[in-house]
Amino acid sequence: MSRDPVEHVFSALGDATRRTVLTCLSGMGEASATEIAQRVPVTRQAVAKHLDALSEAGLVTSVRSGRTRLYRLTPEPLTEAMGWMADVGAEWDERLASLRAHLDGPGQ
Amino acid sequence: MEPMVEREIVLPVPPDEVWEALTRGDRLSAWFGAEAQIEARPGTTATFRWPDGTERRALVEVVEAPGRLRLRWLPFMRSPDGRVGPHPSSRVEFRCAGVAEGTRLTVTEMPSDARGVRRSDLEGVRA
Repeated sequence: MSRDPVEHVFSALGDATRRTVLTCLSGMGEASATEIAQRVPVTRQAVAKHLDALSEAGLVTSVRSGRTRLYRLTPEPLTEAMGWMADVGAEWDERLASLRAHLDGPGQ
Repeated sequence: MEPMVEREIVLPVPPDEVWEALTRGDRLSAWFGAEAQIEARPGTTATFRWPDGTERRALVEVVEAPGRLRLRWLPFMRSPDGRVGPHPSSRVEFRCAGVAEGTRLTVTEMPSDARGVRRSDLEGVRA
């Protein structure tokens, strides 16, 4: 069974360095692993691994530019993850209102 | 860890009664929005069936009467047509605290794998 995309996003973000890489890339627009590594306290190799994981979660895409690979943030999965959070929040609002009514009801 | 989703409500009944409403299937079914079968014992699986036929299961992880209950949604869902597909796995934690007005119930829901991820991490990262 394939992995749920929203879960994959949260899982991909569950690493502090990876979040830093993503935030960094978000600020730069488009960047190579080398350029990102200049701004974060990890090696270029580690940055490349994080970018791979982010790519697998659909959070970044890349294109070849000469001999380098340029990465770019793709925000759609983040938007989807935030949508999930909003949906879950709305669900709980409804349930808790229902719980209150249930506890207020006759015989309670 | 800052939970992804957090809600709080004060209910005008004692914690024991809120606990009953959380841990007894017949009472849980009355407000949860789904028909629930649950046993308040860690390691057991609770089943939830929605009116449209959707079904999900949750592992009961923590049971500390009457203050703390934690479930973990399993990472799949059965749709009305009977097909099983992936679904985000998350942990739901209920905490009941006695207060003057009755019980403060806090519910948090957090994706299972999101170690250290905060709401602000999602919102702060935009192209």
